[in-house]
Amino acid sequence: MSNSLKSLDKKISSKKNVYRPVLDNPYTNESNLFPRVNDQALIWNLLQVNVLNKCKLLANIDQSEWPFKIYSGFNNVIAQITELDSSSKAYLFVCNRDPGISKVLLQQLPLLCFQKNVTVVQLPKGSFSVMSEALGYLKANDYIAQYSDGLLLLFDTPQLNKSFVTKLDTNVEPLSFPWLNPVYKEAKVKLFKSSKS
Amino acid sequence: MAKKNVPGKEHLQRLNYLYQLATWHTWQPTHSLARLYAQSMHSVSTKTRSSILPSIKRTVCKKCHRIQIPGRTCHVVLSNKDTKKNGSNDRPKSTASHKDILEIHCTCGSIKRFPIGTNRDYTLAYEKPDALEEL
Repeated sequence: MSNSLKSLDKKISSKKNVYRPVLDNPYTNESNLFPRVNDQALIWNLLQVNVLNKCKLLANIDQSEWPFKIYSGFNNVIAQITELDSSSKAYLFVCNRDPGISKVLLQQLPLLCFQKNVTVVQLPKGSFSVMSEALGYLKANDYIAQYSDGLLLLFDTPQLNKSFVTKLDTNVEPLSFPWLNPVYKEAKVKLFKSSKS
Repeated sequence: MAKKNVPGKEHLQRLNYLYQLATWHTWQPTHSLARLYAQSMHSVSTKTRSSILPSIKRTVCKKCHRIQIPGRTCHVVLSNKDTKKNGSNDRPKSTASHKDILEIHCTCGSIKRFPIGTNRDYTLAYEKPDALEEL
């Protein structure tokens, strides 16, 4: 078999792109479900100052005496949100931009939070390592709870800094699921690019 | 450059309509109609050979065709084989986290399992950036 330029050209031309139509739905796409945070850097700084840095200082004190109520670990967070009553208020911080966080894991969270009126706050890239270090001081009994999965559930308690809570309320947009309203929304048909020889 | 004419565009919009109907009915107290619409969606997609994104398919139970809404029709658990087998919770993180499995338990009893621990950065070909082109 020859390795001339002509034969190589033939080989390349025989491999063509194939476009398959596929139905896209923005409301099941994980990246479109998380609400926009207006001043993300400020929110991240405030979270570090008000919660994460304090975890390190409070490491030797019993967790029930901490000035705030936090939970980490996927199973813990899901259980707490499911049992949440309508009178209590909570914020869920998610490191959804970082590598090492599974997108399948986060897909169900916004809808669950929407039902229980939990505010979802997405954190900037690079926040996962800082959060994991701080949450390492939590004394979790369950193994699954020890691994933070980039999730932090913070309850609104009287001891929590009020200006931090106000900033959260003003800067984070509420969750919206337009497909739960009885109004038909046309979805986009997209083309999936693949190659076929 | 992508072709502008897409065959079976109407089928895809029909699928979309059925999915939205099924989801809206799941939001209501009774789910029987929702299951019927989701089952129709599955039948239409197989008959017409129309593709649906995996993110949509993940939200439908394969057994009873319920739309998976956490707290209503399913509950989500992150499990680990090692901790289950030994009954101990003190296994070091480094040895056990790669066996994490995400389980979506439907109310019908079926379980969808996603072995997310093996590669947490894993993305399907459909979910990779620039894989989908706009029409």
